Amino acid sequence: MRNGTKAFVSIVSMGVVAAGYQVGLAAEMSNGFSASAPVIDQTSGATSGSTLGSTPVETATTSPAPAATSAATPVSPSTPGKTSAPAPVSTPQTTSSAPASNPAPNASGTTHDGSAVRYQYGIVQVSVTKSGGKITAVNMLQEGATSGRQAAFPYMIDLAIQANGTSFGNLSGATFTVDAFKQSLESALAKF
Amino acid sequence: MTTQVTFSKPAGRVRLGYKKYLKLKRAQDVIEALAWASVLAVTVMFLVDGGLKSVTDFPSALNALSRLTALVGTDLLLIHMLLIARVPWIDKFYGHDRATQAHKKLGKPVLYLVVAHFSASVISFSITAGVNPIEELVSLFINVPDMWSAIIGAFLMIAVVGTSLTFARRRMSYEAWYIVHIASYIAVLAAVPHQFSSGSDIHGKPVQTVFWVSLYFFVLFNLVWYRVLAPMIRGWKLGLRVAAVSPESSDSVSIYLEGKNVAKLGGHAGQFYMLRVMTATAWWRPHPFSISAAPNDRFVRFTIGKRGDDTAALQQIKPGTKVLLEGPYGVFTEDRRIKEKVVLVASGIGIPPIRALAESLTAKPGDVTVIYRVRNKDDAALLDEVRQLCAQRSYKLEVMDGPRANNSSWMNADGTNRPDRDRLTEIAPAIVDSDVYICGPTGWTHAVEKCALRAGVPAHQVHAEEFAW
Repeated sequence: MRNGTKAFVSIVSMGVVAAGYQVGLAAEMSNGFSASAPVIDQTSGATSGSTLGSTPVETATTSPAPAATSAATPVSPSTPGKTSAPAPVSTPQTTSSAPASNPAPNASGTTHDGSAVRYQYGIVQVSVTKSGGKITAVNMLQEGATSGRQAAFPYMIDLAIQANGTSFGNLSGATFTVDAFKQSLESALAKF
Repeated sequence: MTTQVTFSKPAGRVRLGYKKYLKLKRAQDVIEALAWASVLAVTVMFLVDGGLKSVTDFPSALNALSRLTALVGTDLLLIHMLLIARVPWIDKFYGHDRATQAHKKLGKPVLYLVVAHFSASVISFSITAGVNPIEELVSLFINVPDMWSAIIGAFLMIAVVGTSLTFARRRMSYEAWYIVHIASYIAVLAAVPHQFSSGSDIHGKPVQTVFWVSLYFFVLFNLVWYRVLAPMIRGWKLGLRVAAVSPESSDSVSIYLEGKNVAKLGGHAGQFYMLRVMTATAWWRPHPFSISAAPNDRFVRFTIGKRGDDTAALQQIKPGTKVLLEGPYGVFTEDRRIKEKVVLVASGIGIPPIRALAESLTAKPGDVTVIYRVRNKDDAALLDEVRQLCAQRSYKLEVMDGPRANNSSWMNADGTNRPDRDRLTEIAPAIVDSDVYICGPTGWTHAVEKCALRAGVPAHQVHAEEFAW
């Protein structure tokens, strides 16, 4: 490259990198699990595979979801299969113990461990308790995740119980963690 | 040997001037800026995605490093492959030799980035999972989808670059090196699946997925079409066969190729072809040779010296043998000329492109000077033809024979102790205002280039081409 072109390209590059970095900071703040509650994207009631393609950044920016303050909004239940119309996007709160409650294994139910699933950020393994054909509890045996993605597990447990399986949507910002969770859950369910 | 040779007439018109050079520079800038833009694009996508913000502790920093090195490394790897694909829109502006040099230069940085990505991700995951890196590697290999092939691909890449290093290449046969290089395509393919199934920067991200898929297909298309399919299709259409073989000197022959479509071959004087002799044992080893006569509609001619096993075998090639030509390649042509006056300098078996250029240049009598450095006037390839040509067109011819003047000289001993530069300006007084074309062995070529620059010829008027493959 000629020197003039080089100088021009360098200046433009620095500008673009700086802009990209700024956008990155902004996107992360409304998106990261460490900073705020996750945004649940529950638009598809189909099988678990179809949730892989969702775009975390875009869904996140539309609903800021500050932690605490507002009254707890119950997560709308979505039945597995194709019955329900797209459920509204709901925002669970991180206040108190709303979603994080893991009922102790029911004496009348049976419990099976899922396989340990290794993914980018660690290992995920669940154990599932079923009673009368319904999932009554999901326990985390291993919850490997980094950068605050651990915060996603309670929501996933809730969603799994409501969906009575793996047919629940993605948690934006924790796509891989959800995938790993679902894999382990599926392997556990297969043992019933 | 004083057979009368019929020469083809020059085109009669040629565009010259400094603007022609500026236009070339502009085109090169555009291509380089595009390559840079692709690196910038993947970096910015990483940043926009919160790549730096995700860094909170040591494992996450390693993870970010692993992502960035993977993105930039893969992008450079694709550029690295494009550079060797003999793509016309690159070779036209840089020449096959410079593209190949850039390809070689990129090899090591690409490997470093791939190795950095590999180690950073293994270490990062092993810290997160609380196991040692070896255990982590094994478990990645077994548990994570597509990771086994990526790991194999990484080790293959290390092997490919290792065998391309200068010291290794000197010890290896061309054949062994060639087979290892075929393996590099397998290595790249093996690494592709894990990028889409578990790459944090592509998986589940539509913009990035579209970007990378189109980039892969773009490179794949260029590689398959220009490197493999186009030369094959054209080669078979031309249907060239060896028509005659005639000795030129004690260690060189001219091979004449003819075929029903030889007029469609095209190309320019100064260019070269990859020549594939279609026999059971030699077909997979093409060799580069410059045409030694200007393109015409009767024949293609190569003049080949004895330099290795294959060129020795070529001296004995039988008329009727099928030959496949890939090309034409190279920018050692009149396309690069910007001045009225031209100085052509050749040494030994570097004469073929110089001989072809002399035949096809559009020039007034006296505007062309040919300098031909030979060991022995009575045993020099094509010397007779060059003499006839220069006589017909009133070009100046200077044949330099005998031993070197001294160890650092590219000229012959003439009894005086004058420096090469003085002798060069005496032979070609207008050299500063001329285009200088140089073809010969690497060391000698560099010596002439340096001498011409010292004599005051601007760098953009000095043209030299090395065979590089």
